[in-house]
Amino acid sequence: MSQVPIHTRRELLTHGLGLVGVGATLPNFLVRSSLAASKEDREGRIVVSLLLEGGPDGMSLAIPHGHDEYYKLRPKLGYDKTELIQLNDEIGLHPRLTGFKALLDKGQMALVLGTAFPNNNLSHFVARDYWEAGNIRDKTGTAGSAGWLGRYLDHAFPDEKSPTRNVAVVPRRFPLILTGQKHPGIGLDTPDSFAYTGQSSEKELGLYRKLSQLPVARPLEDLQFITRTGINANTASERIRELASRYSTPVQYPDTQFGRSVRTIAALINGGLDGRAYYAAQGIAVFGGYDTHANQKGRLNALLGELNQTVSAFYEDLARCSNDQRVLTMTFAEFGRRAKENYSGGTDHGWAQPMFLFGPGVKPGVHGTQASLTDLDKNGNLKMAVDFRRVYASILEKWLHTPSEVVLGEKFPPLEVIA
Amino acid sequence: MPRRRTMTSCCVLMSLSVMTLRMYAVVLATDGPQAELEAAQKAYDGYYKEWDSLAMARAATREVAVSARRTAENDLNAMLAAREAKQKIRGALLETARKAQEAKPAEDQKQTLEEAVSKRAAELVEAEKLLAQKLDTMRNSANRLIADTRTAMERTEGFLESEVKLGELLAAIWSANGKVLTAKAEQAEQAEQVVREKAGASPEEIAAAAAAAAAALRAVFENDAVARWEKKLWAQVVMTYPDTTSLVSARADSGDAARISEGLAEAETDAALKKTYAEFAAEQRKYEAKNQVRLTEFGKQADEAGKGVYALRAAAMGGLEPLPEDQWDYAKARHLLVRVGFGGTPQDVERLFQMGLYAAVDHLVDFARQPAATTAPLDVSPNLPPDPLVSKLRHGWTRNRGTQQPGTLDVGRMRRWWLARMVESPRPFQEKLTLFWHGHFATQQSVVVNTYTVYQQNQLCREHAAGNFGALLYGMVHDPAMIRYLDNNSNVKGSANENLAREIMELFAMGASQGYDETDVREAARALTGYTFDNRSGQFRFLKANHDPEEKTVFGKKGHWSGDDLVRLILDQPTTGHFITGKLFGFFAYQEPSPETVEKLTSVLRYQNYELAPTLKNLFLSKEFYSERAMNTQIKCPVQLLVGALHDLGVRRMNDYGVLDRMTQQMGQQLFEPPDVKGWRYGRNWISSDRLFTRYNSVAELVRSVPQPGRQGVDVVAFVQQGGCTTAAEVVDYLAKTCLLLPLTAEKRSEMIGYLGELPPPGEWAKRHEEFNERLRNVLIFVTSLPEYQMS
Repeated sequence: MSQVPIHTRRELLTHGLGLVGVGATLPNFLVRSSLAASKEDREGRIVVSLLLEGGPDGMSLAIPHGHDEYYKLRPKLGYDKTELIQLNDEIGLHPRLTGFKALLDKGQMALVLGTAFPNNNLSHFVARDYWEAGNIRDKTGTAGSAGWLGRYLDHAFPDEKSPTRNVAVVPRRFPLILTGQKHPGIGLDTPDSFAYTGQSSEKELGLYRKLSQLPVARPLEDLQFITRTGINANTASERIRELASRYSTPVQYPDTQFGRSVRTIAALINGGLDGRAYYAAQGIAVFGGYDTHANQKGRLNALLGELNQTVSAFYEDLARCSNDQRVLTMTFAEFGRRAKENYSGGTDHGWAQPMFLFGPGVKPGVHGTQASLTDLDKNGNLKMAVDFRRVYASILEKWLHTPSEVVLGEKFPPLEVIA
Repeated sequence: MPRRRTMTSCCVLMSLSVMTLRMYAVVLATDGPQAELEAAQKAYDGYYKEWDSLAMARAATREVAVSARRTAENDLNAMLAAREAKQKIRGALLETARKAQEAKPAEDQKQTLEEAVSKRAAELVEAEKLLAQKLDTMRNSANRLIADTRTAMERTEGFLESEVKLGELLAAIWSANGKVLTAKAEQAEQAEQVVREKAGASPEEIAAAAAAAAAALRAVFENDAVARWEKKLWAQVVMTYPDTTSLVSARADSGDAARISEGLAEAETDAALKKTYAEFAAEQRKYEAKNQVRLTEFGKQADEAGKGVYALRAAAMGGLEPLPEDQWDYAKARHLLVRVGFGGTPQDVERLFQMGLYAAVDHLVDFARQPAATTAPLDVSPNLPPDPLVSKLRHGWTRNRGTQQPGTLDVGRMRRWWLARMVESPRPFQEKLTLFWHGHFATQQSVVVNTYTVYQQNQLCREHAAGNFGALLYGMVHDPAMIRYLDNNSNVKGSANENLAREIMELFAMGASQGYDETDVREAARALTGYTFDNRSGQFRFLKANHDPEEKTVFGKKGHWSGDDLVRLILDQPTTGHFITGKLFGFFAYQEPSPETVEKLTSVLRYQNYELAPTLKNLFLSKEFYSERAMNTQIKCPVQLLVGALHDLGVRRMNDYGVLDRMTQQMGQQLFEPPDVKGWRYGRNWISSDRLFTRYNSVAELVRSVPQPGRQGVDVVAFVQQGGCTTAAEVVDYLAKTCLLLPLTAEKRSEMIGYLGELPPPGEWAKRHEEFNERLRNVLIFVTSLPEYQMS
């Protein structure tokens, strides 16, 4: 494959990268220019997805303080009207979400109430896959499965082989939500660890790169996946480290895994990487994340404080480089929690939950419908008031200008959350 | 009954089997096969008495013959001693006589010498008399030896024939029983057909009939397997049982008799007798050889009978079909060693291959036969909070009170301890399984925050690693770390916490929505109320006051269930078993096996009452385990990648395991810290672009600087020398054979050979060790940085 004559940079961009692993065989300046952002890449719209791992208690994030029933369900875990941040007569924000309120006041936050998936399943893993795939078919870790943002990339960039369209900054597996059939994506923990150091001198590094792209003896699916990932990693490694390791910004992010991950995403966007879908997850490194079966109040204070600071810093940082206009951020989680608090000062797995969207592109305010606090399902959980795929449909149609049914597999009436 | 003493253990075993058969017979219908079975039984019983008396007769004659041999040997030695003594005296007499002759007649000395001569002559007469006596005794003994040995030989012949005949009669019983069972299986099959064709038959009815037919068929396989096993055992006992009834003793007897009579022939002076003894010796040698031939034959018979036993056993349990033994080869031995253990050098693999399939699987799975890991258990104790009085003196009453975190045992030390076991243990399968169970009953120390209980949980997994799944599940319901991790300590009467109840069903025993619903989860949570632990001692506690004693309905069964009952109810559910066998199969063989494959393995697990070792043996012997879908198709988990690299390169001891701890953590598999209760996701989840770099980089770091006693890094020069390599091509091929299961493509191979260039002559390797080792390490790292190396 390395024999293919390459005439123009454009040709290289459209055919070269994924096929031959340019990093291995081409001079460095060509690699750089092929990865350098075109005007289109600098202006293209981006979706950042933030997983709130463990299933946060939606009734503590978007608090239905206007319902008397709320205080009956939450004698110990309820928030007093005076301490929460009131958005209207019905709904208020958790006291720690001051930055969310500030973004709302600037017209950059939308809250969607009562979102869920029609099939009820209280397993963290099954429910998270519903949110990431937007269907019940695709599953994490199963060959051939894809997530909704991955499918968007497959549709929007069917031929183009840049490995960095979808980047997850997360200390573990590449998430289903960003996985596309044609876009395996780049996953990294920290930018500094993102390099091959097995050999040190040029001669040996050259042979390493050469060997890494020669064909294998048997075309096993997983082996080819690894080969492809390796080629993409070699190609992307230099560029990503260049952008993120030397990134400097006056904006302060929380010095936590999540804070640093989102800072890296800002570095890549502000640096002009061609990524269109990013991902970070909160709660992995924090004991059990949002899965607050016990001692919920204290844990939520810590987690929501971190989330609040991180999102605020992110938009401040993006705005500094005028990139906030093209970045839409959404939070999601596997599910909300049970309406009634449990004996341990916590809540058990529930169902419907609120979603937050950020960025100048949103239609600010409170959307959707608060799920009924009296008409609960047989497990005592909030019922779905809004199918979250209606939110996805709106993002796809209005933000990404993509026919949503192509990505979601069927047509959902968009819930207008994009301005 | 002295006779019983001489009976072999085989006979006891046979009698037991025969008793079992009689029990079968009671419940059978009396038809053709049944009559045949009864006839076979009768024939066996009838002949048994004859066989018994032959055994007795043989034992008696053999004792006489043994005694005759000892006597003959003693008498032969006595005769030889007398002969030697006579020669000595004769020599002395001659010497004295010569001196007497030479001495001058006038001297006093002459007189003395002549006296001595006459004294010696008298001694000689005595010695000759004694010799004649001894010779006579010897000849008598020799006659008895010949006669008694021949009698014993005849009896032994008769007895050996009777043993063969008894074996045949026993085989006839098994064969007849097989016919009876086959007839029953046919009936059951017909009955199933009738039910299926019947209008309005309920699914339960059909399922019951199908199950009865399957069970009847399995009984046929079971009978055949036991029959073959008995035959093997019988042949082996006839061959080798170290008592009077064996061929080995017959062979030894004749060898011994031949040796003695050869001695007799040599010592005998009478030509006719000499000839008799020599002929007898030859006859005994011939008999010895004959029994040697018989031994070989029986050995073959035993091997032949042994063949197919596993297949029949597998069929009887409804298990997976075993791999034909002739398909066992080096690559499969390596696959087995890597999956079941962590890996090994080419020499280790060769050794396993030479054992043969069944012995190799037994060797790895029956790890209790290997010595335990030398890595001593950690010095742990429950982490009691400090004495309150001491606290008061140090900090005053208010500070730190109630905030003491139990868990003084450093979790980092626990991780290094476990990694050391994985690298060093002579029972790698035990550690591999412990890793599997740790991922299955996933528990995070960062949530439990009590290292003592987490250590206890790890030991629980290790203890029951290949034991009983039910026992493991029972242990987990009582396990303080698990109780804390899944909040069961706050699961109390009136306000149930469902976390543990849900995960037992979803993640530990049954699989998401497999045979249970939300009601079962809620009711199971009630059954588990009051199951808690004491944070101070780290021990399980049942708090009766917090337990909900009222009636619960789990899986539609009503009762005042406790958490212990819950485990039993779960194990009794017909859907339980599939989930765990599917997961074991996925971990060891390949992901997403067909439902039929899982069903077969589950049959074994349930047939064996949730015993894991036989189930895992069925898996590791199976064709499926060695199929193309299984071999080299697994992405190594980080622990496998690193510990496997060390095993493959023969590094079985390190000075510091912190390096492995750091690396596994970077690759996403920190021990005692799985991502969540679902444990680590295997397969592609390990691979992301940055993780791939970390994986390449970590193995390279180990090759260059793994801290071992007395050295840093791998001595690749010594390693390839052990493989007998002298050329660049041999080095590349040997390293590829060590590290990869897939062959290297010609292109990659020639690139690496080209890089390595011409090797210095082996004589200079030691002299240029450092430089040469560096070059070889680079090649090894090229191999470990190939995408192929990520697979096992």
